[in-house]
Amino acid sequence: MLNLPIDYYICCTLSVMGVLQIASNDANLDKFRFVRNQSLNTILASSLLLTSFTLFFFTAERNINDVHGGLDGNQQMVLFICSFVTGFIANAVISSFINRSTNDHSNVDNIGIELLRQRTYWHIFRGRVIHCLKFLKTTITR
Amino acid sequence: MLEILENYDYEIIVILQSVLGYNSSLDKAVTLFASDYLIPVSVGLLIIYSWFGTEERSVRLKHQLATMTAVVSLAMTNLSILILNNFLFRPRPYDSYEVEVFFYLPTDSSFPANSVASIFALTVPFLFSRIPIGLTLVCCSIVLGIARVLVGVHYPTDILGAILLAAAISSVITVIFSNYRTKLEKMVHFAQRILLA
Repeated sequence: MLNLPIDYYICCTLSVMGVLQIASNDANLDKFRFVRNQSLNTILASSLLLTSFTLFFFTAERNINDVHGGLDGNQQMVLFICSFVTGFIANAVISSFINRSTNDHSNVDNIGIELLRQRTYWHIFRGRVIHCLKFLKTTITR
Repeated sequence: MLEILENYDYEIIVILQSVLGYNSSLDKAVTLFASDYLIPVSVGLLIIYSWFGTEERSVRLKHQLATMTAVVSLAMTNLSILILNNFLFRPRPYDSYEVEVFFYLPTDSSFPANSVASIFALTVPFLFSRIPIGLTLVCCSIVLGIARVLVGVHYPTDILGAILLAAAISSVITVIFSNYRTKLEKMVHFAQRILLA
């Protein structure tokens, strides 16, 4: 593949996406899934995990000392956090696109990620931005 | 006393390493488990799963509080090791004895085993709140520890010391954080407002 830090980042991002899909299955976050069918989504998520681990460990030598181009603990942590952020955003974008026509507009008493049971990430995010802009507009015009 | 302990350490390494060198698949598997990436990344993914992957709100909150405590425990354990290594340096087994090495040659102190301490630091908060995840993390720490001894980069007492150090620090952090539950819950509520919890 490319080089160790980039490979690590890419493979961790894929793994994070897989884990988030498994988590959205178990937490019933329907609008955060890539596939509506839970079993198919589990297969997809497991494939993502398996692919990322296989790509990382079986395409190059990974046992490298950090003084010879390997990653030390701090670098690993920073890259893992970056992978989490990328994986989460990718999940939000892809799931919002796939489920764009299935938003449930009824009133819901869910909070936090539970809102993703009825609405897509993009739908909730847009709603909040519009709400903030309206609030700002009324505050400024007063 | 220390010499006797070190001799026992060496003998354990020799006994454990007697299984290696016959089957290349087994050698590769042990090296894979001892690597800096497989178990640490798997543990990171498990922590992400525990943050998001529960249907019941109250149970999820419990997991999220445990995750926050675990992350602080990890940071404090790493800080303690950093400070400890300024005063204490133990050479690696291959520096002192004729030990076969199936891994790259690390240059930092052998005691305590950093990677094992980091993973065990994440374990204790989950053992208090979510036993299956806690036990999985314990298994990960033990597998990583044994693999590291097998490949010849740590003494068994490095692993034991790392587990004891991490358990002590993590327990203290868990007890302290249990007194600040409402503040931690406020942080989770903030994360809920930005759809991260």
